[in-house]
Amino acid sequence: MANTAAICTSFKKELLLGYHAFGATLARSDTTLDSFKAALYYTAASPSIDATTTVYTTTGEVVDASYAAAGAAVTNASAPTTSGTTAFWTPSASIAWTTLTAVAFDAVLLYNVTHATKYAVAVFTFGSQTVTAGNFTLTMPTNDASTGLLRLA
Amino acid sequence: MEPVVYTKNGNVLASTLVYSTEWEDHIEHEVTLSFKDEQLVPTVTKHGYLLFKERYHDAETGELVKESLHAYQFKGLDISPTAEQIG
Repeated sequence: MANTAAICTSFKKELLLGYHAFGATLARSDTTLDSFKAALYYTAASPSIDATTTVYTTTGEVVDASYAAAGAAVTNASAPTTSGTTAFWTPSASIAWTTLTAVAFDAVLLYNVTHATKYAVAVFTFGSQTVTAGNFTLTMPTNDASTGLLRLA
Repeated sequence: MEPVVYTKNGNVLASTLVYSTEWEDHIEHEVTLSFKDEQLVPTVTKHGYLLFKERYHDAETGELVKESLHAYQFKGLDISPTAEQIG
């Protein structure tokens, strides 16, 4: 079988696990697991929350007495895994807010809350929504190589 | 004792509210074809999200007093790294 240029599948999973540190300076000193959170953002957030977002920000985040700033905890009980040549990870439970009132929000920012610099991971959108004294639940996709929430294909 | 429901006006008797639901479909279907046993086999993947909304209106005034939202994300996001041959 011929040799083939490729990103090693194991490396994709190891990126999600934090095994590798490139560069001349060790950027990470933590020895404990990271925790992640999900924050909600208004449709009119400025600057917008998108691929250029690097860290969690309160700018544009939902503000209401019923909403705890910084968002809701993300349940991180599933280890990243691989299938075929894809590594993937999905939160092991829905992300939920209860008795929430929020008007015209359309995005959730997943970010690392363990680091002092709260590094952004991904942004998910669902159209402008309003919740009044109610619950908002984000149900996660199936945790596999084709639909998992975060996939390195 | 009659159950109460928490609303923007506080806890109110369930019997004074009208409950309704609504589904919103924001799903796109992606069809990819692959060969298996010399035949084209379609694979359908769902993108987007599905919303389920629950609303409570005041039976007398019609005012919306509670609205809940449940969003099901069908597919997450992917990163596609590439490796090039050197030289």
